[in-house]
Amino acid sequence: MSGQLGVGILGAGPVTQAIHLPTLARLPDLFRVTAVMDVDAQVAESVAARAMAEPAQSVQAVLDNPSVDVVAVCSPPRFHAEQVAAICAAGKRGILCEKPLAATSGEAEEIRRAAEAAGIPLVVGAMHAYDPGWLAAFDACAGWFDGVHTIRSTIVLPFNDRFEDWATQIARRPAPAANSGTPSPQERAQRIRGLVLGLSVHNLPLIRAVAPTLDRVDHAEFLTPFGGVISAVAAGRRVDLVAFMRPVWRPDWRLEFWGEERSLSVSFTPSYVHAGPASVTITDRHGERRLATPAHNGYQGEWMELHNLVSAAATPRYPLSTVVDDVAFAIDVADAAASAVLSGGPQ
Amino acid sequence: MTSPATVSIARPAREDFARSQRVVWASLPVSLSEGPGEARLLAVDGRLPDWLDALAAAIRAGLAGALVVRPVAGPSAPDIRAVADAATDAGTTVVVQTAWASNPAVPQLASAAAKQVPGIRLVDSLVQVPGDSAGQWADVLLDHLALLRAMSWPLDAVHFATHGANGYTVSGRQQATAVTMSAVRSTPGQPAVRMAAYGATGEAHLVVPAGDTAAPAAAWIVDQTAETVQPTRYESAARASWRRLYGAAAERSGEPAADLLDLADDAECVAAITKKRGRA
Repeated sequence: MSGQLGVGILGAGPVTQAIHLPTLARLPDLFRVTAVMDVDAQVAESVAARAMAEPAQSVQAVLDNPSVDVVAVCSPPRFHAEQVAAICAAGKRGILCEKPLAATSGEAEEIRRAAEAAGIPLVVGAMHAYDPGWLAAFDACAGWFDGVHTIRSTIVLPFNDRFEDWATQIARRPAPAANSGTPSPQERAQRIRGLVLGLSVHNLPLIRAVAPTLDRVDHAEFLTPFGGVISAVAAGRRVDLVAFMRPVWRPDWRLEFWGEERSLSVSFTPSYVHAGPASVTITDRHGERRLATPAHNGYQGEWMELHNLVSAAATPRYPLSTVVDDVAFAIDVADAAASAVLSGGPQ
Repeated sequence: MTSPATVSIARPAREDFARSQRVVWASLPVSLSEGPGEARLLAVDGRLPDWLDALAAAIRAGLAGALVVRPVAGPSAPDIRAVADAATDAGTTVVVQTAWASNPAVPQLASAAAKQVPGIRLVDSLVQVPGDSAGQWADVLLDHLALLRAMSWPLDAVHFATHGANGYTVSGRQQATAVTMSAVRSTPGQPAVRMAAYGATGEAHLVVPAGDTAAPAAAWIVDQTAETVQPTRYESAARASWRRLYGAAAERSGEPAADLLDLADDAECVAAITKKRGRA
């Protein structure tokens, strides 16, 4: 792993400010932020100044900047396909694209084709997939996952601003979405779709690593202010997703697997804060075992992977076909959950 | 009832059941005694399928009280209610001991949650059953429902239920609160139950260890400023249940068969849930 890469960032919202800039500051031998683009000129100026980078208001300005080697796509998902295509056309050396990779499976496929045609490595900002705790768990449980019969994702968190404010000082926080009274069934369906693609999406690639295909969503219910319960079956395994955000400080972010003679529990830190890796507990008839893991977090893992791919031509941990299938899986879950909310019955 | 109440085991009973009851009685020597003479309080082995018949016989015999220990699902709700009516008529106090609801941490947490956790939106609970004892999911579900009821969150509507060889998932409502109940076939040594109730400004948590020892449950309340652990209670569910029966039978206070009526409601719910789809 050698050679510092210049980073251009598209979109300078809280994710860039609280996640990527602090993470890149931890990896000064590998990266230097050279350009920050945002459609809000003041935000672009402010955030770029933090990294002593060039501010920009257009994608093209970042792509034209010769000091930019790799690009982080931190814009809303509906822009990802178009921006990745532009980055590939500009001949940049690598891409880190925030999750979800795309808004639709078709756009994810466009991204795959563009990156493959250009030969540009692409890493999706799915930090749990690069968390050393999860990677240690995956290695330790290889061969056992076939016997998993039940998977449960529990994500109970306060709202994001609590953690953003511990990771950075936000330049300008986007206005919260207005909620007008009791949501209609259509609004509830839309919100549970947003819940899957905005919150559950963190755990879905990990679930898909064990249960690769969605069989069906049996039940889904949206909870106010923002949460939901989803009961599904994937590759024959029961998968329960419970998520709830509320203004109480205590976080609980767990992914659990039960199978023959063993269970696995992975407990993640909240998003935004740089609090180290997930803690992993494997339980079997001999007792509990906590896995020792490297001290870095999944955000650093994403960027270290990108540097490896660009500088050392390493084999990607997650090939493009995998990340495209991850998006399709997440969208399938989101769509089926939305339908279940609307129908009140199985899908 | 100021002197020790004489206690006995209803027949039939398994040998290990009789032994377990004597262990509990030995921990309440001032209150309970298995001495000679007619028993005033009786232990009914609820793991036997005809436990309701044994209880009915005890009520007919005119006992002051009976403890039904870990009743299995099976008897219908109307049959249980009929025995409850008989208990009321006879003045026989009946206490039902279930796997987790009878843990002494539960009423303590329920009381704290009622005061400190307003506006509960979600109750999420998970039961882990060791693989070698899994299989009777209706029995687990009955215990699970009893715990919800003991926490004052009885399920009053079931929206979805699935069950299979490895567990179950149930989604329902208790008034405006979403309730999820999951059970999974697991490995030994894990907590038997994990339950959390999430409100707008606070939450209540309960973790009950596996086994029937006096290992304390963990219970805590979270509010906007802190996490407050409830006092630990190193008392088994069995001992707490016998203390409760002894006290209730002595005072003859309240509904003598309220536990049975609750159990009948839960049995009705089990029957409704297990009739639903059985996929996964």
